[in-house]
Amino acid sequence: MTTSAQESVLDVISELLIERFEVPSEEVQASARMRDLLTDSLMVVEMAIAVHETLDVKVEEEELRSTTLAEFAEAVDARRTDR
Amino acid sequence: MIRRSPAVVTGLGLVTPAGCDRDTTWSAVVAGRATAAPDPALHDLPVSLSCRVPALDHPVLRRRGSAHLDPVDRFGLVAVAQALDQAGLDPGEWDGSRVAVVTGGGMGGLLTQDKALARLAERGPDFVSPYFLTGYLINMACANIALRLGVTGPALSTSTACASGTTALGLARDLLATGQCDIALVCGAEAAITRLTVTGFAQLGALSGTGSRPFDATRDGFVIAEGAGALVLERPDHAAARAARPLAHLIGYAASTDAHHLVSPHPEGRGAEQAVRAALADAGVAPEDVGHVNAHGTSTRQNDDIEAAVLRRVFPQRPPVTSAKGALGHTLGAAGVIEAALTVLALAEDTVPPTAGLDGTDTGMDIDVVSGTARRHPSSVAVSNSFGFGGHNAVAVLARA
Repeated sequence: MTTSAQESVLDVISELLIERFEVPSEEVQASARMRDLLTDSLMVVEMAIAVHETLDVKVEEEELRSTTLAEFAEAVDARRTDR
Repeated sequence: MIRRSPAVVTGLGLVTPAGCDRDTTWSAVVAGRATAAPDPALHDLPVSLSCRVPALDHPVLRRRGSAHLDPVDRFGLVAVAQALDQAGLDPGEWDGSRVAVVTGGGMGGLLTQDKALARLAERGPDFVSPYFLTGYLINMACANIALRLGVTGPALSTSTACASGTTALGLARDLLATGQCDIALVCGAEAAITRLTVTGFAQLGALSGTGSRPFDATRDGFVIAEGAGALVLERPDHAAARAARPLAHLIGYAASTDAHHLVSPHPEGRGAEQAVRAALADAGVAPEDVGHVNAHGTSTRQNDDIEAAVLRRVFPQRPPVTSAKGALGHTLGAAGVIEAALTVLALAEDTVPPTAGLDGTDTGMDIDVVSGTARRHPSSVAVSNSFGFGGHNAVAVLARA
């Protein structure tokens, strides 16, 4: 693989935002705040489920409200590599 | 004589198996083109025909938050957006507190329910989407329209099975007539072609495996369909004040209930006849004033027999009768608004569309069902019938503008 593990988690989450949540791709930047990308509370819950399902990592809704996309991807990745 | 005009129609929208807009739908209906096709999702069921809406795209569906809409909401939103566009109304500029929305639907977001049920069974409760209920509840087509368009007046959903759309029309008319709003958006929407629903209708013996042939001697059931219709209704003075051109007038409405059986119509059409006569009385017109009838005409043995007998008794002048269900199939709760919209077009175009699938009207019906090609036939008044499981009957009377 030419990309690092962290980049690929970022890619997966970015793809979920664009494909499953229909967030405009130009807004899906590493520095964007997750709570700005997931504009209502149901989207936050849905993203937690999607990450659990796609990456097999359980996340707290609070994490999704307090991180940027890059920070969130890093936190998810850390828990994947810990196992 | 037309007594009064409590509501004018200033816009209409259509999303049907024949096409995702007014013009393609109307041309297919006028051409008598049947849209039923074998449905791969139903291939191993006793009946596998359906009428599906083609791929749908519209600016109203490209806004943030559209990803989790059930198809029933998508159909409804697009039909309403088309109707508003034709009416020349901009939701950004209106006083939303003077606008109402009334939707009619029989089933709710069944595809969303199917997905959630599958997730619960396969993955467990943690994986059920929080969007399950927002997609499934039967009021959500209405809520989505209100939310996107800033409708802050009354927002109501009617559910009288296959009469739901016409019931919505009547309720909207009453909201206007009693001054509860200046504009009423009416939308019938249904997206219920699921394996379970089709099985349910098949178990009741209601579906045809060969095609929709309303009033035909060989008819053997309806073909399930999906879609939406929308009308913008306004009080005449409101439409006049903004120089909006009325497409037609909604001059009468009435409802009745069979109280006979949960799914079988009353054998003599007692409730249906009561509703037709009451709607004519509400409109202040005589049976002889009616130029044509848009029948419920499902293509089931029972419905068409009983409806034909009612039409024969009520309308001695034998006005032309048409059923859109030959072309579009049965859109269930959406049918009433779709068919009212087609009736508006028929009045405006002096045209009664043919009943697709009809080869020879059943013996003894003695009604003039238009078949083959569209008939040029100016009418000043037309009736649109809807009858639903549960014994619900709803009838609208429309007049040309």
